[in-house]
Amino acid sequence: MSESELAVIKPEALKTYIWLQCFDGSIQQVEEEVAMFCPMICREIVKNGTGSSKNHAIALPERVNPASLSLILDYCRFHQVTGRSNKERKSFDEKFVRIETEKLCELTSAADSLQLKPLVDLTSRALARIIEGKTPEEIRDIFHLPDDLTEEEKLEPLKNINDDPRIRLLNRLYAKKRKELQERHERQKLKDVQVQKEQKDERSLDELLCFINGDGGSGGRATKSKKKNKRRKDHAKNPPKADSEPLDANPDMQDDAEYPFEDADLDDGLDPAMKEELDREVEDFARRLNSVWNESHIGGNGPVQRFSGFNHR
Amino acid sequence: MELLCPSAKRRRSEDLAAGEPPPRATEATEAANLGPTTHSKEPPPPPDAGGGGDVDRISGLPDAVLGEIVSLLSTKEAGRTQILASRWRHVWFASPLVIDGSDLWTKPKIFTAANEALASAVSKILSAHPGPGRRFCVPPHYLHDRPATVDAWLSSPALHNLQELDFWEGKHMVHRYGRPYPLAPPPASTFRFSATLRVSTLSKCELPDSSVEGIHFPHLKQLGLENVSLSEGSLHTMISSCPVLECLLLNGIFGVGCLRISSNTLRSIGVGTDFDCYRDNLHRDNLQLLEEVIIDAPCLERSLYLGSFKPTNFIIISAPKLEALGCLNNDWFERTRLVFGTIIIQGLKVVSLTTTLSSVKTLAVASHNMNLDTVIELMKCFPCLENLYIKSCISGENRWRHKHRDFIKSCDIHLKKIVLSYRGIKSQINFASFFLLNARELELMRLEVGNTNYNEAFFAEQYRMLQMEKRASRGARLHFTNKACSHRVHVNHVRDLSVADPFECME
Repeated sequence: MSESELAVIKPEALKTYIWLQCFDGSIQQVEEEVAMFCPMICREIVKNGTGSSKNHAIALPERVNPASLSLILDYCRFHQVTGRSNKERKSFDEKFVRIETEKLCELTSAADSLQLKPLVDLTSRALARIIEGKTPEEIRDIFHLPDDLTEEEKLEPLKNINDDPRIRLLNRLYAKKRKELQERHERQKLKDVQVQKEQKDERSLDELLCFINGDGGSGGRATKSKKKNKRRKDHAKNPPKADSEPLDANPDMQDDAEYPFEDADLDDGLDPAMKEELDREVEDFARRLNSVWNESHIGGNGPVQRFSGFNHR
Repeated sequence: MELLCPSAKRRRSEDLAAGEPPPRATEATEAANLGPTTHSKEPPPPPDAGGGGDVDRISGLPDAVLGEIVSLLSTKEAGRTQILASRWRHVWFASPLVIDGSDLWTKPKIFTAANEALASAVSKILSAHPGPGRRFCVPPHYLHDRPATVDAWLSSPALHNLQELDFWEGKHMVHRYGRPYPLAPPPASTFRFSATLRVSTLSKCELPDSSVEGIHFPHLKQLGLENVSLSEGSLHTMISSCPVLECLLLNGIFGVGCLRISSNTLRSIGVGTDFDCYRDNLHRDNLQLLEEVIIDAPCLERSLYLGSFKPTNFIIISAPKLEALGCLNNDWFERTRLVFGTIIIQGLKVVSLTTTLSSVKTLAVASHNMNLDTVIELMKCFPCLENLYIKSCISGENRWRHKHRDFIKSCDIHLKKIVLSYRGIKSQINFASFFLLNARELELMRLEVGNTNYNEAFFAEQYRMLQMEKRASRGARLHFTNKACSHRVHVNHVRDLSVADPFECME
């Protein structure tokens, strides 16, 4: 747009300079084709005829400080050249926004008041990248935001999330089960310690029995299998395989590799096997909760669940 | 949303935001009182938070700009901005709504519960936000599991003027049904946004002829169809109803034998049938896979082949701007016949070559018997090749000093980057040294090695074996990496088709 207008207005004077004045009074001149890249400046030149001399410099909006102006003109100078490849432009843009956050905010503000949309988009994206992944405290810290909301106001947007009775029940059940399992785990641990000290010989007998009976597991694993599934309160340490079969049958909860249990919140000493059991119990509950029981257990395929639409409120 | 006690840590409880919408009049007044509303007014100086330089410079931006920034955040983060400060309290509410299921998806300890949580969160957010909508992405199995809910969502005013609609799994929301389910048509409300959509992905559904009749997508630039069943006529109707289409992804479409595309705007196309898609649909009668693709797209820049079962014939009538091509393959079920103008390549074998394609800069190839002769033949078709990705192991003798001396003398090799997997065996040494000693513009040779070889001793040994001191390009670097890329083409979503080099591993 700016180039064609330029051609219409002043075809013979392509190396003219435009004078720009910032709010603080400082004046600078810049090549016309560079200045015309900004829609707001372009309009001033075309409509009001200002900018052609030092005395008639274009008054820039207040939000354009000299530092931002300088950056904006660099941006315009680079991009108004037509021969550049997309790769070059992208590379320039990436480097261009690697500035201090404060300067980035000022630049965004200046670009917006000059209506330079591509630059506003670029800086907005950069600011979004800065905000992404940070806690509200961190964001307030980086941008020096005032922490002026009341506690109540802060919780308001989140109030409704836990209002769904289903979700709340699931939450509670999950928490209860987790506590239960943890207690059981603790008790088992204590038992192990005792058993280890006193019943060493018996255990090796158990091992033999297991082996002879063809359970296939190694009872010896029992001593180091503190991390394995020990839900059974039996004295004989059943091999983990027997326990894990019903779990393996459910493809939804397999594959530690795919769904590693790395959520920090739930990583309170529960090993994956216990979590699986927990999951299964809560899932059962969820299913019952939805009053739809539509499963099939076909040798390893696991249950197929269907929830036919659901209403909140 | 995660399953936690309500008294969980603060950080977790801030994960989602779907507030009760305050009445709009109040909200507007509040916003006016809190901050600037137009560009021309200078915002009141923000309170100084202590030190001289600690001035809040972002809250002074106008609502529209803050709204734009918030709409660029992930769904969770965007909602969280409501609690940053009073100025920000209503920014999310006034910005275009982005609901990305993969952002809200919690690492599923329980798949079904995670689905419930996601659906619940989506419903809440939709009920809280007045619109307009920018992006909406939910897993495709919802079309089957809860079609009425999806219909209600799509009809919600919060999604008014939606620009991006994806029924898409991504790697986070992969569904683990034991059995594939029958594909059903998406609700009619899916096509409600045809006037404003710019990006759309439809997966795991069936598109009957009636659903696409008469629709028009004046702004749709990127279209993805994955695991979709539709007729040949419907596919052609859909594509021709997109006058500005730039990227087209067809991954696992059934029911179409021959696809003809004529488009002045198409820049990138990705075609294939993922093995999982194929296996899931084996039970269907008349499993018609895409067999022939004929493209007339003078602006085409990238022609990508994804997944296992590729069309038998892939014909590009003319491709003066074609830059990236791959992954070419000659495994028995992937031996596509590619035609680019006068060049015919069967699998990896150059059958006919009259006029070279000098626009092609990036090429990816894979073969069970990848050797230098094959590669050199291909390089003759694409004399200006700059980036070469060998996505399989190299074998064969690869002797070149005598065999290819004519080629070396007559042709300049413009290659700048070569990536291959490497063990240090003789055939690979011969292969790699061919390029190191003859490619005068080489900048980087990346060798993907296994962990056992990932050590200084091995690197030094290879430096010697590959005769690096005699390299043709002084600026050439050898780079060893132990991150082997298992994907041949990195295209998960239709927007990946706009990436200039889709073979480069970004992880």
